[in-house]
Amino acid sequence: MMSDSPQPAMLRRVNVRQLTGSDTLVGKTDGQRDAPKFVNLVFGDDREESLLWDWSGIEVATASYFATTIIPLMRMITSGELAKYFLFAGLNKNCLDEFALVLNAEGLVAMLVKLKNEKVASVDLVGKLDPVYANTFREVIRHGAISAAELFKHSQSRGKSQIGKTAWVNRLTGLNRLRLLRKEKVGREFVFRAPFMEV
Amino acid sequence: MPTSDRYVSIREVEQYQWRVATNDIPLTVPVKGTQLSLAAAIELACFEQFLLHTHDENKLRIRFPTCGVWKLIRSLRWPNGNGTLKENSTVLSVLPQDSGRRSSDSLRSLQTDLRQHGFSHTLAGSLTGAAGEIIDNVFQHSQTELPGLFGYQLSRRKVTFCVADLGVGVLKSLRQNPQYRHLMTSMDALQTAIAPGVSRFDAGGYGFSTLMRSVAELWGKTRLRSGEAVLVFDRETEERRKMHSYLPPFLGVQVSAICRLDPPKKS
Repeated sequence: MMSDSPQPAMLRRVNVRQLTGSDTLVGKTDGQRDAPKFVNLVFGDDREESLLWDWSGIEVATASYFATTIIPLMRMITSGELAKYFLFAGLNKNCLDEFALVLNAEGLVAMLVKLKNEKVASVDLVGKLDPVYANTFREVIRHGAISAAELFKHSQSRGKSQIGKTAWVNRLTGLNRLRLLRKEKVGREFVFRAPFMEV
Repeated sequence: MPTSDRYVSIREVEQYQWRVATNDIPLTVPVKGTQLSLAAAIELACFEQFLLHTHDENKLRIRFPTCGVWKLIRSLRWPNGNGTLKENSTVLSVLPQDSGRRSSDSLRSLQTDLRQHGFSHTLAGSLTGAAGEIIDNVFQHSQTELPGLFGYQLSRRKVTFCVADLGVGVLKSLRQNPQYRHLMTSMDALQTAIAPGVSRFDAGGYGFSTLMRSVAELWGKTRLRSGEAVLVFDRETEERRKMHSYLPPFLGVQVSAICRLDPPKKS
């Protein structure tokens, strides 16, 4: 799924089991108990960074728990109040189903990654995202880092000329606003890459 | 109500409530010697509390059954007592309002018991999460000092769990959120509350969604009751059905879920 050329970025990995001290995280009551731990951790470092939430070791985490802990932080990220990128790993089937339930209801999307040798080996999106944006995200992941102009050129060369350059710009900007892609100025144009990739 | 020694379903307890509501006192519950399902017993316990809440205690002549589950409820002295009791395959636990964490032991025990009764690791986790969410609703939404009641009963490849409270009910709770002030009946409120993200708070409202997701692939029935409204999600046949009915008004919210790994035997 990913290009080999860029070097994987160092991620700040958070073990949720250690953070919360429990493997069963159920309901709003548990969420209210643990929310300050999540907030302190996220606001403890004000640099723009990628946080990898590792849920391995969590047996049960329910929708209300996610809605009380992670979702408010994701809302702050998408509204631009918080300069972070969130990635999620290690969710078992139940936890993932519950997380997806909340993301869909709240109209949010999250990056779900698989790790190999402590590095991101693959990424999937979970939650609510227009398929057009999801395809654009996949294109960026495939190329590692890319600008709207380059995506436009690629799409033209593959006969997808109906997608204009402005449309690519809008899609990439939208994905950046959702904090699914990092945006960097390179020369006169913006280059977009996944938050776990470095130049 | 029947007086012979046989199994009484929650449906019969519902019919009994109508008879009491339409005939007024004397309020006797002649179900001595019968066997009650866990859901029926908890419904009856809530009904008793409702009668005590709405009638003069001295005029009530309540005679309740003597079966195992009922004895367990009596031993717990709910809603005035405390603690957890286990007898054979039935576990009953009082949910005190002062601490949501006290339910964690019951949930851990449910998860372990489910695995021992043929439920996979994933299903055990899923159902434990669902029970936990409904228990948490008692702490978050019942808005009463009276404790809730949680019970589960396991047999091979089958579990029944029930959560009941004596609080304000779904309608009164949801109407505290301006977004849902238009709701006028408990039935409207219950139908609205089963959608994800519906709550008296701006955030939350996933308890029923978690429950529905967890039981979706299992055979059985899920029943939600609040006020005069009852919703039943019947998963006894290939064709899943959602039914609604009306009962006399009631206190709080009662949720029960029967979950089986196998389809019912054809007679």
